[in-house]
Amino acid sequence: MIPASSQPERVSIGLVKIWGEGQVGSRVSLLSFTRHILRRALGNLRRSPVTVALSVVTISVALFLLSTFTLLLHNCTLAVSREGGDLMVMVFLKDSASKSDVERLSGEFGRLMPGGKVAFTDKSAALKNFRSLLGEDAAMLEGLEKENPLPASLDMQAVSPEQAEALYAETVSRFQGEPAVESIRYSRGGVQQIKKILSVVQTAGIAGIVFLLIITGFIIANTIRLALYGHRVEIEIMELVGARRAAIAAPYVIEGLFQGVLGALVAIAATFALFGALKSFLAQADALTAVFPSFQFLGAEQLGLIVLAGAAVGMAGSFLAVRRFLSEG
Amino acid sequence: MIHLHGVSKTYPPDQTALRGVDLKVSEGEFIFVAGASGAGKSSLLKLLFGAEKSSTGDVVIGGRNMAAVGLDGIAELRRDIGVVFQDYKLLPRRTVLENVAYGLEVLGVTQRERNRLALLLLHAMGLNDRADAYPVTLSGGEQQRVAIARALIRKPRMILADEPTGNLDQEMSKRVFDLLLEANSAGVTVVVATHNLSVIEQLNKRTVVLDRGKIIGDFSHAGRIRQ
Repeated sequence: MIPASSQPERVSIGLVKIWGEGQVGSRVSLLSFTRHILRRALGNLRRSPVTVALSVVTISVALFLLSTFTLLLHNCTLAVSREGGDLMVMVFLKDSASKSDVERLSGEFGRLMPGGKVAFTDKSAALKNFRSLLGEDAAMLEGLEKENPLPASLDMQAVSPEQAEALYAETVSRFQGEPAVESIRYSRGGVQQIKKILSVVQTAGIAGIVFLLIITGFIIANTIRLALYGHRVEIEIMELVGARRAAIAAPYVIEGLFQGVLGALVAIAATFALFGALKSFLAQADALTAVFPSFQFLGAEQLGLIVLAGAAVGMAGSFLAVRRFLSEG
Repeated sequence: MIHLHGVSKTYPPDQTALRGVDLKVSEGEFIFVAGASGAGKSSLLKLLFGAEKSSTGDVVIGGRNMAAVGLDGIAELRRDIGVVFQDYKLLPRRTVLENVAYGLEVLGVTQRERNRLALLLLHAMGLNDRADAYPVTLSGGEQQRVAIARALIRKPRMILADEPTGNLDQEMSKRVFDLLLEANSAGVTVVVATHNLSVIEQLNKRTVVLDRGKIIGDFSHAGRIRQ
Protein backbone atom coordinates (compact mmCIF):
# COMPACT_ATOMS: atom_id res chain seq x y z
CA MET A 1 0.00 0.00 0.00
CA ILE A 2 1.29 3.44 -0.91
CA PRO A 3 1.08 6.01 1.90
CA ALA A 4 -1.32 8.85 1.10
CA SER A 5 1.46 11.41 1.55
CA SER A 6 3.51 9.87 -1.27
CA GLN A 7 0.63 9.87 -3.79
CA PRO A 8 0.81 12.58 -6.46
CA GLU A 9 -1.55 15.51 -5.96
CA ARG A 10 -4.98 15.14 -7.53
CA VAL A 11 -6.17 17.73 -10.03
CA SER A 12 -9.78 18.82 -9.58
CA ILE A 13 -11.87 20.17 -12.46
CA GLY A 14 -14.69 21.48 -10.28
CA LEU A 15 -17.21 18.85 -11.39
CA VAL A 16 -19.78 19.68 -8.72
CA LYS A 17 -19.80 23.34 -9.78
CA ILE A 18 -20.29 22.37 -13.45
CA TRP A 19 -23.15 20.05 -12.58
CA GLY A 20 -24.67 22.85 -10.54
CA GLU A 21 -24.62 25.04 -13.68
CA GLY A 22 -26.54 22.54 -15.76
CA GLN A 23 -29.67 21.15 -14.11
CA VAL A 24 -29.60 18.67 -16.96
CA GLY A 25 -32.55 16.56 -15.92
CA SER A 26 -35.09 19.35 -16.27
CA ARG A 27 -34.05 20.61 -19.69
CA VAL A 28 -35.73 18.07 -21.95
CA SER A 29 -37.78 19.80 -24.63
CA LEU A 30 -40.09 18.01 -27.06
CA LEU A 31 -39.48 20.58 -29.78
CA SER A 32 -35.73 20.23 -29.44
CA PHE A 33 -36.06 16.45 -29.40
CA THR A 34 -38.15 16.50 -32.60
CA ARG A 35 -35.62 18.82 -34.24
CA HIS A 36 -32.88 16.43 -33.19
CA ILE A 37 -34.68 13.46 -34.78
CA LEU A 38 -35.27 15.39 -38.04
CA ARG A 39 -31.66 16.60 -38.14
CA ARG A 40 -30.44 13.05 -37.69
CA ALA A 41 -32.73 11.81 -40.46
CA LEU A 42 -31.51 14.52 -42.86
CA GLY A 43 -27.91 13.82 -41.82
CA ASN A 44 -28.38 10.12 -42.65
CA LEU A 45 -29.83 11.01 -46.05
CA ARG A 46 -26.94 13.37 -46.85
CA ARG A 47 -24.33 10.86 -45.75
CA SER A 48 -25.42 8.04 -48.06
CA PRO A 49 -26.78 9.56 -51.29
CA VAL A 50 -26.15 6.44 -53.41
CA THR A 51 -28.08 4.16 -51.05
CA VAL A 52 -30.88 6.73 -50.86
CA ALA A 53 -30.98 7.02 -54.66
CA LEU A 54 -31.23 3.23 -54.99
CA SER A 55 -34.13 3.08 -52.54
CA VAL A 56 -35.92 5.95 -54.26
CA VAL A 57 -35.53 4.30 -57.68
CA THR A 58 -36.86 1.00 -56.32
CA ILE A 59 -39.89 2.68 -54.77
CA SER A 60 -40.43 4.74 -57.93
CA VAL A 61 -40.53 1.64 -60.15
CA ALA A 62 -43.10 -0.08 -57.93
CA LEU A 63 -45.20 3.06 -57.55
CA PHE A 64 -44.93 3.86 -61.26
CA LEU A 65 -46.57 0.52 -61.97
CA LEU A 66 -49.15 1.26 -59.30
CA SER A 67 -49.97 4.69 -60.70
CA THR A 68 -50.04 3.41 -64.31
CA PHE A 69 -52.48 0.76 -63.21
CA THR A 70 -54.53 3.38 -61.37
CA LEU A 71 -54.46 5.60 -64.45
CA LEU A 72 -55.82 2.83 -66.68
CA LEU A 73 -58.41 1.80 -64.14
CA HIS A 74 -59.45 5.41 -63.64
CA ASN A 75 -60.02 5.92 -67.36
CA CYS A 76 -61.80 2.61 -67.81
CA THR A 77 -64.13 3.56 -64.96
CA LEU A 78 -64.72 6.93 -66.61
CA ALA A 79 -65.48 5.19 -69.89
CA VAL A 80 -68.01 2.93 -68.19
CA SER A 81 -69.74 5.84 -66.49
CA ARG A 82 -69.82 7.71 -69.81
CA GLU A 83 -71.49 4.67 -71.33
CA GLY A 84 -74.23 5.58 -68.89
CA GLY A 85 -75.67 7.64 -71.79
CA ASP A 86 -76.30 4.34 -73.53
CA LEU A 87 -77.63 2.59 -70.48
CA MET A 88 -80.99 2.63 -72.04
CA VAL A 89 -83.51 -0.16 -72.46
CA MET A 90 -85.59 0.70 -75.52
CA VAL A 91 -88.99 -0.89 -76.06
CA PHE A 92 -89.96 -0.40 -79.73
CA LEU A 93 -93.69 -0.20 -80.27
CA LYS A 94 -95.78 -1.48 -83.13
CA ASP A 95 -97.40 1.17 -85.35
CA SER A 96 -100.69 -0.24 -84.13
CA ALA A 97 -99.98 0.70 -80.51
CA SER A 98 -102.60 3.12 -79.26
CA LYS A 99 -102.15 6.12 -76.99
CA SER A 100 -103.66 4.14 -74.11
CA ASP A 101 -101.11 1.31 -74.75
CA VAL A 102 -98.33 3.87 -74.51
CA GLU A 103 -99.67 5.28 -71.25
CA ARG A 104 -100.21 1.83 -69.71
CA LEU A 105 -96.76 0.53 -70.69
CA SER A 106 -95.12 3.77 -69.60
CA GLY A 107 -96.71 3.40 -66.15
CA GLU A 108 -95.64 -0.24 -65.83
CA PHE A 109 -92.06 0.49 -66.92
CA GLY A 110 -91.90 3.35 -64.41
CA ARG A 111 -92.82 0.92 -61.62
CA LEU A 112 -90.01 -1.43 -62.75
CA MET A 113 -87.32 1.18 -62.10
CA PRO A 114 -88.06 3.54 -59.24
CA GLY A 115 -85.94 6.66 -59.66
CA GLY A 116 -85.32 6.00 -63.36
CA LYS A 117 -86.78 7.89 -66.30
CA VAL A 118 -89.18 6.64 -68.98
CA ALA A 119 -89.51 8.78 -72.13
CA PHE A 120 -91.73 8.31 -75.14
CA THR A 121 -90.22 8.89 -78.58
CA ASP A 122 -92.86 8.99 -81.30
CA LYS A 123 -92.16 8.02 -84.88
CA SER A 124 -91.46 11.57 -86.11
CA ALA A 125 -89.11 12.25 -83.15
CA ALA A 126 -87.31 8.97 -83.93
CA LEU A 127 -86.81 10.11 -87.52
CA LYS A 128 -85.60 13.50 -86.35
CA ASN A 129 -83.07 11.86 -84.02
CA PHE A 130 -81.91 9.60 -86.81
CA ARG A 131 -81.47 12.60 -89.09
CA SER A 132 -79.32 14.41 -86.57
CA LEU A 133 -77.27 11.24 -86.06
CA LEU A 134 -76.59 11.01 -89.81
CA GLY A 135 -75.61 14.69 -89.99
CA GLU A 136 -74.56 15.59 -93.56
CA ASP A 137 -75.82 12.24 -94.83
CA ALA A 138 -79.35 12.98 -93.65
CA ALA A 139 -80.31 13.91 -97.21
CA MET A 140 -80.79 10.24 -98.03
CA LEU A 141 -83.79 10.21 -95.68
CA GLU A 142 -85.63 12.71 -97.92
CA GLY A 143 -89.17 11.60 -98.62
CA LEU A 144 -89.45 9.29 -95.68
CA GLU A 145 -91.70 11.69 -93.73
CA LYS A 146 -94.80 10.24 -95.39
CA GLU A 147 -93.87 6.60 -94.88
CA ASN A 148 -91.71 6.80 -91.80
CA PRO A 149 -90.31 3.24 -91.22
CA LEU A 150 -88.90 4.01 -87.77
CA PRO A 151 -90.95 2.77 -84.81
CA ALA A 152 -92.01 4.79 -81.79
CA SER A 153 -90.34 3.69 -78.56
CA LEU A 154 -90.49 3.89 -74.79
CA ASP A 155 -86.93 4.59 -73.57
CA MET A 156 -85.97 3.60 -70.03
CA GLN A 157 -82.85 5.35 -68.77
CA ALA A 158 -81.10 3.28 -66.06
CA VAL A 159 -78.70 4.81 -63.56
CA SER A 160 -76.12 2.01 -63.58
CA PRO A 161 -75.10 -0.89 -65.83
CA GLU A 162 -76.34 -3.30 -63.15
CA GLN A 163 -79.79 -1.67 -63.07
CA ALA A 164 -79.92 -1.58 -66.87
CA GLU A 165 -79.19 -5.30 -67.09
CA ALA A 166 -81.78 -6.20 -64.47
CA LEU A 167 -84.32 -3.95 -66.16
CA TYR A 168 -83.65 -5.49 -69.56
CA ALA A 169 -84.09 -9.02 -68.20
CA GLU A 170 -87.31 -8.08 -66.40
CA THR A 171 -88.74 -6.22 -69.41
CA VAL A 172 -87.99 -9.11 -71.76
CA SER A 173 -89.56 -11.67 -69.43
CA ARG A 174 -92.70 -9.61 -68.86
CA PHE A 175 -93.32 -7.71 -72.10
CA GLN A 176 -91.85 -9.81 -74.91
CA GLY A 177 -94.90 -10.93 -76.86
CA GLU A 178 -97.07 -8.02 -75.67
CA PRO A 179 -99.33 -7.07 -78.66
CA ALA A 180 -98.17 -3.43 -78.65
CA VAL A 181 -94.45 -4.30 -78.36
CA GLU A 182 -92.37 -4.79 -81.53
CA SER A 183 -88.99 -5.55 -79.88
CA ILE A 184 -86.83 -4.82 -76.84
CA ARG A 185 -83.21 -3.65 -77.17
CA TYR A 186 -80.42 -2.79 -74.77
CA SER A 187 -77.05 -1.32 -75.88
CA ARG A 188 -74.98 -3.39 -73.50
CA GLY A 189 -72.19 -4.61 -75.79
CA GLY A 190 -69.71 -1.79 -75.05
CA VAL A 191 -70.45 -1.74 -71.36
CA GLN A 192 -70.01 -5.48 -70.99
CA GLN A 193 -66.71 -5.36 -72.84
CA ILE A 194 -65.33 -2.58 -70.69
CA LYS A 195 -66.58 -4.31 -67.58
CA LYS A 196 -64.65 -7.40 -68.60
CA ILE A 197 -61.52 -5.36 -69.21
CA LEU A 198 -61.96 -3.62 -65.86
CA SER A 199 -62.37 -6.89 -64.05
CA VAL A 200 -59.20 -8.37 -65.57
CA VAL A 201 -57.21 -5.18 -65.02
CA GLN A 202 -58.44 -4.93 -61.45
CA THR A 203 -57.73 -8.52 -60.43
CA ALA A 204 -54.37 -8.90 -62.12
CA GLY A 205 -53.31 -5.34 -61.33
CA ILE A 206 -54.17 -5.42 -57.65
CA ALA A 207 -52.45 -8.80 -57.13
CA GLY A 208 -49.37 -7.61 -59.01
CA ILE A 209 -49.16 -4.28 -57.22
CA VAL A 210 -49.62 -5.79 -53.76
CA PHE A 211 -46.83 -8.24 -54.57
CA LEU A 212 -44.62 -5.42 -55.86
CA LEU A 213 -45.28 -3.26 -52.80
CA ILE A 214 -44.33 -6.12 -50.49
CA ILE A 215 -41.13 -6.74 -52.46
CA THR A 216 -40.41 -3.00 -52.37
CA GLY A 217 -40.92 -2.99 -48.60
CA PHE A 218 -38.35 -5.78 -48.24
CA ILE A 219 -35.88 -4.04 -50.55
CA ILE A 220 -36.22 -0.85 -48.52
CA ALA A 221 -35.83 -2.85 -45.30
CA ASN A 222 -32.58 -4.32 -46.60
CA THR A 223 -31.33 -0.98 -47.91
CA ILE A 224 -31.99 0.67 -44.55
CA ARG A 225 -30.40 -2.31 -42.82
CA LEU A 226 -27.21 -1.75 -44.80
CA ALA A 227 -27.29 1.89 -43.75
CA LEU A 228 -27.82 0.78 -40.14
CA TYR A 229 -24.68 -1.35 -40.26
CA GLY A 230 -22.85 1.77 -41.38
CA HIS A 231 -24.18 3.57 -38.29
CA ARG A 232 -23.76 0.72 -35.83
CA VAL A 233 -21.18 2.58 -33.70
CA GLU A 234 -23.50 5.54 -33.38
CA ILE A 235 -26.44 3.28 -32.55
CA GLU A 236 -24.35 1.43 -29.97
CA ILE A 237 -23.41 4.73 -28.35
CA MET A 238 -27.00 5.93 -28.46
CA GLU A 239 -28.01 2.77 -26.60
CA LEU A 240 -25.19 3.28 -24.11
CA VAL A 241 -26.23 6.82 -23.27
CA GLY A 242 -29.81 5.72 -22.67
CA ALA A 243 -31.63 6.56 -25.89
CA ARG A 244 -34.97 4.78 -26.11
CA ARG A 245 -35.52 2.39 -29.00
CA ALA A 246 -38.14 4.71 -30.43
CA ALA A 247 -35.63 7.58 -30.41
CA ILE A 248 -33.04 5.40 -32.15
CA ALA A 249 -35.54 4.13 -34.72
CA ALA A 250 -37.34 7.42 -35.44
CA PRO A 251 -34.67 9.03 -37.70
CA TYR A 252 -34.50 5.88 -39.82
CA VAL A 253 -38.28 5.63 -40.09
CA ILE A 254 -38.37 9.30 -41.15
CA GLU A 255 -35.60 8.51 -43.64
CA GLY A 256 -37.81 5.72 -45.05
CA LEU A 257 -40.79 8.08 -45.13
CA PHE A 258 -38.76 10.65 -47.10
CA GLN A 259 -37.54 8.02 -49.56
CA GLY A 260 -41.09 6.72 -49.99
CA VAL A 261 -42.55 10.16 -50.66
CA LEU A 262 -39.72 11.08 -53.04
CA GLY A 263 -40.15 7.75 -54.84
CA ALA A 264 -43.89 8.42 -55.16
CA LEU A 265 -43.29 11.89 -56.63
CA VAL A 266 -40.83 10.48 -59.18
CA ALA A 267 -43.37 7.76 -60.04
CA ILE A 268 -46.13 10.35 -60.51
CA ALA A 269 -43.88 12.43 -62.78
CA ALA A 270 -43.08 9.33 -64.87
CA THR A 271 -46.77 8.42 -65.04
CA PHE A 272 -47.58 11.93 -66.20
CA ALA A 273 -45.04 11.54 -69.01
CA LEU A 274 -46.61 8.19 -69.94
CA PHE A 275 -50.06 9.80 -69.79
CA GLY A 276 -48.95 12.46 -72.30
CA ALA A 277 -47.64 9.80 -74.66
CA LEU A 278 -50.80 7.68 -74.34
CA LYS A 279 -53.04 10.66 -74.90
CA SER A 280 -51.37 11.59 -78.16
CA PHE A 281 -51.46 7.92 -79.23
CA LEU A 282 -55.19 7.72 -78.47
CA ALA A 283 -55.83 10.92 -80.41
CA GLN A 284 -54.54 9.12 -83.51
CA ALA A 285 -56.36 5.82 -82.91
CA ASP A 286 -60.01 6.29 -83.88
CA ALA A 287 -61.22 3.01 -82.42
CA LEU A 288 -59.79 3.77 -79.00
CA THR A 289 -60.96 7.38 -79.08
CA ALA A 290 -64.51 6.01 -79.15
CA VAL A 291 -63.86 4.10 -75.91
CA PHE A 292 -61.79 6.82 -74.22
CA PRO A 293 -63.15 10.08 -75.68
CA SER A 294 -61.31 12.18 -73.08
CA PHE A 295 -58.34 10.40 -71.55
CA GLN A 296 -57.78 11.95 -68.12
CA PHE A 297 -54.87 12.07 -65.66
CA LEU A 298 -55.35 10.92 -62.06
CA GLY A 299 -57.31 13.07 -59.65
CA ALA A 300 -55.91 14.72 -56.51
CA GLU A 301 -57.35 11.97 -54.32
CA GLN A 302 -55.64 9.19 -56.29
CA LEU A 303 -52.35 11.07 -56.42
CA GLY A 304 -52.59 11.55 -52.66
CA LEU A 305 -53.13 7.81 -52.21
CA ILE A 306 -50.03 7.01 -54.30
CA VAL A 307 -47.91 9.38 -52.17
CA LEU A 308 -49.44 7.78 -49.08
CA ALA A 309 -48.59 4.29 -50.38
CA GLY A 310 -44.98 5.40 -50.95
CA ALA A 311 -44.78 6.88 -47.46
CA ALA A 312 -46.30 3.75 -45.90
CA VAL A 313 -43.99 1.34 -47.75
CA GLY A 314 -40.93 3.48 -46.91
CA MET A 315 -41.82 3.75 -43.24
CA ALA A 316 -42.81 0.09 -42.87
CA GLY A 317 -39.59 -1.08 -44.56
CA SER A 318 -37.44 1.13 -42.33
CA PHE A 319 -39.34 0.16 -39.20
CA LEU A 320 -38.87 -3.55 -39.92
CA ALA A 321 -35.16 -3.04 -40.59
CA VAL A 322 -34.55 -1.04 -37.40
CA ARG A 323 -36.57 -3.43 -35.26
CA ARG A 324 -34.63 -6.38 -36.57
CA PHE A 325 -31.29 -4.58 -36.24
CA LEU A 326 -31.94 -3.55 -32.64
CA SER A 327 -33.13 -7.00 -31.63
CA GLU A 328 -29.99 -8.51 -33.20
CA GLY A 329 -27.91 -5.86 -31.38
CA MET B 1 -26.75 0.53 -5.41
CA ILE B 2 -25.57 -2.80 -6.87
CA HIS B 3 -26.62 -6.17 -5.54
CA LEU B 4 -25.63 -9.41 -7.28
CA HIS B 5 -26.86 -12.66 -5.81
CA GLY B 6 -25.78 -16.05 -7.13
CA VAL B 7 -25.18 -14.63 -10.59
CA SER B 8 -23.94 -16.86 -13.39
CA LYS B 9 -23.52 -16.04 -17.04
CA THR B 10 -23.08 -18.62 -19.76
CA TYR B 11 -22.68 -17.79 -23.43
CA PRO B 12 -23.81 -20.32 -25.99
CA PRO B 13 -22.92 -23.05 -26.48
CA ASP B 14 -21.36 -23.57 -23.05
CA GLN B 15 -18.83 -20.82 -22.30
CA THR B 16 -19.25 -19.84 -18.67
CA ALA B 17 -18.11 -16.29 -17.93
CA LEU B 18 -19.42 -15.90 -14.37
CA ARG B 19 -20.19 -18.52 -11.71
CA GLY B 20 -22.24 -17.83 -8.59
CA VAL B 21 -21.16 -14.23 -8.11
CA ASP B 22 -22.38 -12.46 -4.94
CA LEU B 23 -21.53 -8.79 -4.67
CA LYS B 24 -22.87 -5.68 -2.93
CA VAL B 25 -21.71 -2.18 -3.82
CA SER B 26 -23.03 0.76 -1.82
CA GLU B 27 -24.03 4.11 -3.28
CA GLY B 28 -21.01 6.41 -3.60
CA GLU B 29 -18.49 3.58 -3.38
CA PHE B 30 -15.38 3.25 -5.57
CA ILE B 31 -14.59 -0.34 -6.42
CA PHE B 32 -12.10 -2.11 -8.64
CA VAL B 33 -12.95 -5.41 -10.31
CA ALA B 34 -9.60 -7.07 -10.92
CA GLY B 35 -8.58 -10.24 -12.70
CA ALA B 36 -6.69 -11.61 -15.64
CA SER B 37 -8.03 -11.46 -19.17
CA GLY B 38 -11.03 -13.78 -19.47
CA ALA B 39 -11.72 -13.72 -15.73
CA GLY B 40 -15.22 -12.30 -16.33
CA LYS B 41 -14.68 -8.58 -15.59
CA SER B 42 -16.29 -7.31 -18.79
CA SER B 43 -19.18 -9.78 -18.48
CA LEU B 44 -19.82 -8.49 -14.98
CA LEU B 45 -19.89 -4.89 -16.19
CA LYS B 46 -22.20 -5.79 -19.07
CA LEU B 47 -24.69 -7.21 -16.57
CA LEU B 48 -24.53 -3.95 -14.62
CA PHE B 49 -25.60 -1.74 -17.53
CA GLY B 50 -28.06 -4.21 -19.02
CA ALA B 51 -26.08 -5.16 -22.12
CA GLU B 52 -26.48 -8.78 -21.05
CA LYS B 53 -28.90 -10.67 -18.83
CA SER B 54 -27.67 -13.14 -16.24
CA SER B 55 -28.24 -16.83 -16.95
CA THR B 56 -29.10 -17.45 -13.29
CA GLY B 57 -29.24 -15.32 -10.15
CA ASP B 58 -30.39 -11.75 -9.51
CA VAL B 59 -28.81 -8.52 -10.69
CA VAL B 60 -30.38 -5.62 -8.82
CA ILE B 61 -29.33 -2.07 -9.76
CA GLY B 62 -30.75 0.88 -7.85
CA GLY B 63 -33.47 -1.39 -6.42
CA ARG B 64 -34.55 -2.74 -9.83
CA ASN B 65 -34.10 -6.38 -10.74
CA MET B 66 -32.61 -6.37 -14.22
CA ALA B 67 -34.38 -9.61 -15.16
CA ALA B 68 -37.71 -7.77 -14.96
CA VAL B 69 -36.59 -4.56 -16.67
CA GLY B 70 -37.70 -4.14 -20.31
CA LEU B 71 -35.74 -2.44 -23.07
CA ASP B 72 -37.11 1.03 -22.33
CA GLY B 73 -36.45 0.41 -18.64
CA ILE B 74 -32.82 -0.36 -19.46
CA ALA B 75 -32.61 2.84 -21.51
CA GLU B 76 -34.00 4.71 -18.49
CA LEU B 77 -31.45 3.07 -16.23
CA ARG B 78 -28.57 3.92 -18.55
CA ARG B 79 -29.40 7.61 -18.27
CA ASP B 80 -28.07 7.32 -14.73
CA ILE B 81 -25.01 5.33 -15.76
CA GLY B 82 -21.90 6.54 -17.54
CA VAL B 83 -20.01 3.78 -19.34
CA VAL B 84 -16.34 4.15 -20.31
CA PHE B 85 -14.47 1.66 -22.48
CA GLN B 86 -10.85 0.97 -23.27
CA ASP B 87 -11.52 1.77 -26.95
CA TYR B 88 -13.28 5.07 -26.03
CA LYS B 89 -16.26 4.55 -28.42
CA LEU B 90 -16.26 8.11 -29.73
CA LEU B 91 -18.16 9.07 -32.86
CA PRO B 92 -15.50 9.59 -35.53
CA ARG B 93 -17.54 12.01 -37.62
CA ARG B 94 -18.36 14.29 -34.73
CA THR B 95 -16.14 16.87 -33.11
CA VAL B 96 -14.94 16.60 -29.53
CA LEU B 97 -17.58 19.12 -28.44
CA GLU B 98 -20.34 17.16 -30.21
CA ASN B 99 -19.12 13.88 -28.72
CA VAL B 100 -19.23 15.26 -25.19
CA ALA B 101 -22.61 16.90 -25.79
CA TYR B 102 -23.94 13.66 -27.31
CA GLY B 103 -24.83 12.30 -23.89
CA LEU B 104 -27.34 15.13 -23.58
CA GLU B 105 -28.44 15.14 -27.23
CA VAL B 106 -30.42 11.90 -26.94
CA LEU B 107 -32.18 13.36 -23.91
CA GLY B 108 -33.43 16.28 -26.01
CA VAL B 109 -31.45 18.98 -24.20
CA THR B 110 -31.27 22.06 -26.41
CA GLN B 111 -28.17 22.44 -28.55
CA ARG B 112 -27.21 25.72 -26.93
CA GLU B 113 -27.47 24.23 -23.43
CA ARG B 114 -25.59 21.04 -24.19
CA ASN B 115 -22.82 22.93 -25.98
CA ARG B 116 -22.53 25.32 -23.05
CA LEU B 117 -22.19 22.48 -20.56
CA ALA B 118 -19.84 20.51 -22.82
CA LEU B 119 -17.59 23.55 -23.22
CA LEU B 120 -17.57 24.13 -19.46
CA LEU B 121 -16.51 20.54 -18.91
CA LEU B 122 -13.89 20.58 -21.68
CA HIS B 123 -12.51 23.84 -20.34
CA ALA B 124 -12.24 22.40 -16.85
CA MET B 125 -10.45 19.36 -18.27
CA GLY B 126 -8.04 21.50 -20.29
CA LEU B 127 -9.46 20.24 -23.58
CA ASN B 128 -11.28 23.40 -24.69
CA ASP B 129 -8.73 24.08 -27.45
CA ARG B 130 -9.60 20.63 -28.90
CA ALA B 131 -13.36 21.25 -28.93
CA ASP B 132 -13.57 21.51 -32.72
CA ALA B 133 -11.12 18.68 -33.41
CA TYR B 134 -12.18 15.21 -34.53
CA PRO B 135 -11.35 12.22 -32.30
CA VAL B 136 -8.86 10.77 -34.79
CA THR B 137 -6.57 13.79 -34.24
CA LEU B 138 -6.49 13.29 -30.45
CA SER B 139 -4.06 11.23 -28.39
CA GLY B 140 -5.37 8.12 -26.60
CA GLY B 141 -5.41 9.95 -23.27
CA GLU B 142 -7.33 12.86 -24.74
CA GLN B 143 -9.85 10.52 -26.36
CA GLN B 144 -10.41 8.70 -23.07
CA ARG B 145 -10.93 11.99 -21.24
CA VAL B 146 -13.45 13.00 -23.89
CA ALA B 147 -15.24 9.67 -23.34
CA ILE B 148 -15.27 10.30 -19.60
CA ALA B 149 -16.52 13.84 -20.17
CA ARG B 150 -19.41 12.36 -22.22
CA ALA B 151 -20.21 10.07 -19.30
CA LEU B 152 -19.89 12.83 -16.68
CA ILE B 153 -21.87 15.55 -18.43
CA ARG B 154 -25.12 13.76 -17.57
CA LYS B 155 -24.37 13.79 -13.83
CA PRO B 156 -24.64 9.98 -13.59
CA ARG B 157 -25.29 8.08 -10.38
CA MET B 158 -22.81 5.44 -11.43
CA ILE B 159 -19.80 5.17 -13.75
CA LEU B 160 -18.74 1.80 -15.13
CA ALA B 161 -15.26 1.79 -16.67
CA ASP B 162 -13.88 -1.23 -18.51
CA GLU B 163 -10.07 -1.04 -18.63
CA PRO B 164 -10.24 2.75 -19.00
CA THR B 165 -6.46 3.17 -18.98
CA GLY B 166 -5.55 0.02 -20.86
CA ASN B 167 -4.07 2.00 -23.76
CA LEU B 168 -2.67 4.94 -21.81
CA ASP B 169 0.69 5.88 -20.34
CA GLN B 170 1.16 6.53 -16.64
CA GLU B 171 0.64 10.30 -16.80
CA MET B 172 -2.57 9.98 -18.81
CA SER B 173 -3.80 7.15 -16.58
CA LYS B 174 -3.39 9.41 -13.59
CA ARG B 175 -5.42 12.18 -15.21
CA VAL B 176 -8.19 9.72 -16.10
CA PHE B 177 -8.32 8.35 -12.55
CA ASP B 178 -8.26 11.89 -11.14
CA LEU B 179 -11.51 12.47 -13.03
CA LEU B 180 -13.07 9.23 -11.78
CA LEU B 181 -12.02 10.00 -8.22
CA GLU B 182 -13.47 13.49 -8.39
CA ALA B 183 -16.76 12.08 -9.68
CA ASN B 184 -16.67 9.60 -6.80
CA SER B 185 -16.01 12.42 -4.32
CA ALA B 186 -19.14 14.08 -5.68
CA GLY B 187 -21.18 10.99 -4.79
CA VAL B 188 -20.98 8.97 -8.01
CA THR B 189 -20.57 5.21 -7.58
CA VAL B 190 -17.58 4.09 -9.64
CA VAL B 191 -16.86 0.52 -10.78
CA VAL B 192 -13.58 0.05 -12.65
CA ALA B 193 -12.64 -3.25 -14.28
CA THR B 194 -8.88 -3.55 -14.70
CA HIS B 195 -6.02 -6.00 -14.65
CA ASN B 196 -3.53 -3.22 -13.81
CA LEU B 197 -2.40 -4.01 -10.26
CA SER B 198 -0.23 -0.93 -9.90
CA VAL B 199 -3.22 1.37 -10.46
CA ILE B 200 -5.21 -0.59 -7.88
CA GLU B 201 -2.38 -0.35 -5.37
CA GLN B 202 -1.88 3.34 -5.98
CA LEU B 203 -5.53 4.25 -5.38
CA ASN B 204 -5.97 1.83 -2.50
CA LYS B 205 -9.73 1.25 -2.95
CA ARG B 206 -11.96 -1.76 -2.39
CA THR B 207 -11.06 -4.46 -4.91
CA VAL B 208 -12.94 -7.56 -5.96
CA VAL B 209 -10.80 -10.20 -7.66
CA LEU B 210 -12.29 -12.52 -10.25
CA ASP B 211 -10.76 -15.73 -11.49
CA ARG B 212 -12.45 -17.86 -14.15
CA GLY B 213 -15.78 -16.25 -13.38
CA LYS B 214 -15.68 -16.64 -9.59
CA ILE B 215 -14.95 -14.03 -6.94
CA ILE B 216 -11.85 -15.25 -5.17
CA GLY B 217 -11.27 -12.19 -3.02
CA ASP B 218 -12.96 -9.00 -1.86
CA PHE B 219 -10.47 -6.61 -0.31
CA SER B 220 -11.35 -3.38 1.37
CA HIS B 221 -7.82 -2.10 0.72
CA ALA B 222 -5.46 -2.91 -2.09
CA GLY B 223 -2.59 -3.74 0.26
CA ARG B 224 -3.68 -7.33 0.83
CA ILE B 225 -4.15 -8.27 -2.79
CA ARG B 226 -0.57 -9.36 -3.46
CA GLN B 227 -0.78 -11.62 -0.41
